[in-house]
Amino acid sequence: MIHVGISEIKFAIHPESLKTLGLGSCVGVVIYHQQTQTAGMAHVMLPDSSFSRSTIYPPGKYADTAIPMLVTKLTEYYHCPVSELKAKMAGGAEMFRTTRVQSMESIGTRNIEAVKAQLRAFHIPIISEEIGKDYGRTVEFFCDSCRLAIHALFRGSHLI
Amino acid sequence: MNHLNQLDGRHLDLLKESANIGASHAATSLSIMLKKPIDLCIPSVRLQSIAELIDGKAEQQVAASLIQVKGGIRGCFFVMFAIDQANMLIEELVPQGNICDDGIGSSAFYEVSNILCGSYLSALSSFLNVAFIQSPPVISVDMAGAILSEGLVELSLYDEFALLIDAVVFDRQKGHQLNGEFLFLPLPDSLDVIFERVEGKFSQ
Repeated sequence: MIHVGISEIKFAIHPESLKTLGLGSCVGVVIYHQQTQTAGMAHVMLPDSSFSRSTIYPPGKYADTAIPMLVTKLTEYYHCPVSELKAKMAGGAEMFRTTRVQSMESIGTRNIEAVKAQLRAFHIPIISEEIGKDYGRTVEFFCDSCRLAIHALFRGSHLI
Repeated sequence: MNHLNQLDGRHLDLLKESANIGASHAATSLSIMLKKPIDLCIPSVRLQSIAELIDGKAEQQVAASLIQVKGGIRGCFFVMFAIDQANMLIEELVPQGNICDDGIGSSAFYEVSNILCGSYLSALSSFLNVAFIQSPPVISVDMAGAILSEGLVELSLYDEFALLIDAVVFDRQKGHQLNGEFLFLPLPDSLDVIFERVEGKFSQ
């Protein structure tokens, strides 16, 4: 099991799996190549790197830098054809039910939209997802079955 | 203060003293509410990478409330208890209450965190002579990692590191069974305000 920390990007080939803990408004996105049982996972914290107020940040932190990095590494280093890549994602919750009257969407929703927009740009289909709502998730991706296990408190585990 | 790594030992000591004043007042409030002595560990002030902070507690099951601090100093404030300890605390105030009941129990938890944060900040406010405004608390019962990451979003835009002011309170009578944590995470620009005020005090 390879642990993907917050803002990190990691890759695995079967029999390794990829796991990230405690996704709240963050999005855990996996891009995988079924034929070679290869996958990469990012723990995305924010939608857009233009928000950053510092010049140095890990590429896995923002959706607009994480997805291109995942795709580049999978195609160039692991030689997976981009047309055969697929994706699964989880997270993007809104942990706190706020009473704020703001037109701005929650950070979780914006993360989800940003990840989806990036995947669309690379024509990578999203095979399954478990997103939104108001609870935290721990996810683990198995490279052979290409299944994403989702664990949440009080809700048990299931595969998508 | 553009970067947190410009902080030296003296700065951390000043922050620790400020935190001590705030947390002591919060502990006093808690002990009045519960009618028993509540002890306080000397607060720790440290610079920690946001990733480490979140990953270290990622799957701990906690009840936490998040309070936004605005005004002279900006940042966020977490009051965090393990779920069973939050329930123990609630039961002492409202028997049969429960953190997950969406009623009297969670309402009690809102109130407790509001009071704890309020006494922490008002002590800090009179020490530093800066006015704060605190938002009403929002609570969540879930994995600590998921909760902290949402609160740290704004902070993480500035830096990969956060200044963490951490204090633990515990109930002496019950051994260490009632452990709570106050986490205060000021935004970087607010640190300047703290240092100016504290240094001003010493030069007087």
